[in-house]
Amino acid sequence: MKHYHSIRQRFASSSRMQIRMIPMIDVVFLLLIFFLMTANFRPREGFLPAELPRQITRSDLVELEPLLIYLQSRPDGSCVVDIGDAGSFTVGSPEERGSFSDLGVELKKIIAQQGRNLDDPVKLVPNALTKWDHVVKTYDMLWQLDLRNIIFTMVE
Amino acid sequence: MRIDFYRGSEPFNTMIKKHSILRFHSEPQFNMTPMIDVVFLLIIFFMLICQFIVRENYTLAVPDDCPSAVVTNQLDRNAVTVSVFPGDDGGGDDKLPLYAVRASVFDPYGQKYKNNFPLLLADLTDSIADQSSAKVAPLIHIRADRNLTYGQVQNALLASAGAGQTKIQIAAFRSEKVAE
Repeated sequence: MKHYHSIRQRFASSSRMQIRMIPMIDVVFLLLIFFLMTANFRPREGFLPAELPRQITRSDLVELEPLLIYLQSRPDGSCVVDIGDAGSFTVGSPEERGSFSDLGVELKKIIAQQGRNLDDPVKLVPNALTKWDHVVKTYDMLWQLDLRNIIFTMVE
Repeated sequence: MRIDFYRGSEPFNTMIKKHSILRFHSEPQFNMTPMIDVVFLLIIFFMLICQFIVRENYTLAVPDDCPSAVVTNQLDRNAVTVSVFPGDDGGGDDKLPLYAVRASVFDPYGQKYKNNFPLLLADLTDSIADQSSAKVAPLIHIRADRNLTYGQVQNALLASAGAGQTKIQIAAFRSEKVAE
C-alpha cells in the first residue's frame, strides 16, 4: 500500500530544525587561535627548600661556629666567594672561567680538611649589594654537597 | 541530422558526458566532523593542562642553572607566592623593588608607602600572615628577580619570618635558561 504525505507533513519534514555548524566552527577556530596567540606559557620553575629561623635577629649567637661564606658581586657579573679564612674564589669571571660546580669541589675539600660534618652549620654572608642570583647559586651548590644547615645572614 | 563535434579522436559529446560523470562522483568534499572533533579535543586539552594563575604572573626572571631545584608536577595549593621584582623603570641597586603577596602589590614609591618603608614591611608581613592562615600547611614561595640584590630580597625573607612562616622555597630554574 502506498502512503501519501500531506503537503503540511512534507513541508514539516523538509524544514526540520538543523544546527548550523559552520558559524560555530568559525567561532571555535577563532577562539583557538586567540588562546594560542595570547597564552603566555611560563616555564616550569623549580624550588629550593629553605628554612628561616623563627626570629631573625642580627645577633651572631650560634652554638657551633659555622663555616662562613662571604659573597660579593662585582660589576662585571662575577662573584667573589671567601670561604672563611680558607681561600677566596672568583666565580663567573670571563677570564678565570670558574663555575659554582668548581667552587663546590673546593668547598668539599675545605670541609674535609677542617673535619666538619654535613650537619654543621654554614652561614651565607652576602652583603646588601650581592646579586640574588649569586646567593641562590651558592645556596644550590651547598645543597648539592648535602649541606642542609644553611643560615642566611641579614644585612643592614 | 546529427552533428558530431570532434576534438582529437574522441567525440566531444562523449567526452562531456564522461567528464560530467567523473565530476559528479569524485567531487572533493571537506569532511569537517573529524576536524571539529580534533579542535574540540585540543581546546579541552589546553584548558585542562593550563594552570591559570590569576594576576600573579609578574615579569621577573628567577635564577637559573640550579640543579638542586625540585620541579613538582602540580602547583602546591598550600603555597603563598611572594614575588620581588623591579618596577617598570627597571629598578637599580639603589632603588627599592616591588613586593607582592599573590595578587597584592606593595609599591614602595606609591602614595601609601612613599617615605614610609616600615609601614610597607608591616603590611607585607600582615598580608603573608593573612594568606597563610587560610592554608593548611602553608609554604612560602619566594620568587625574586635574579638581578635584584640580596638587600632588596631580604625584606621578603624578613616579612615571611615575621609572619611566622619559616618554611620557604626559593624559585629557580634547574637548567640554564633565559626566562622572561
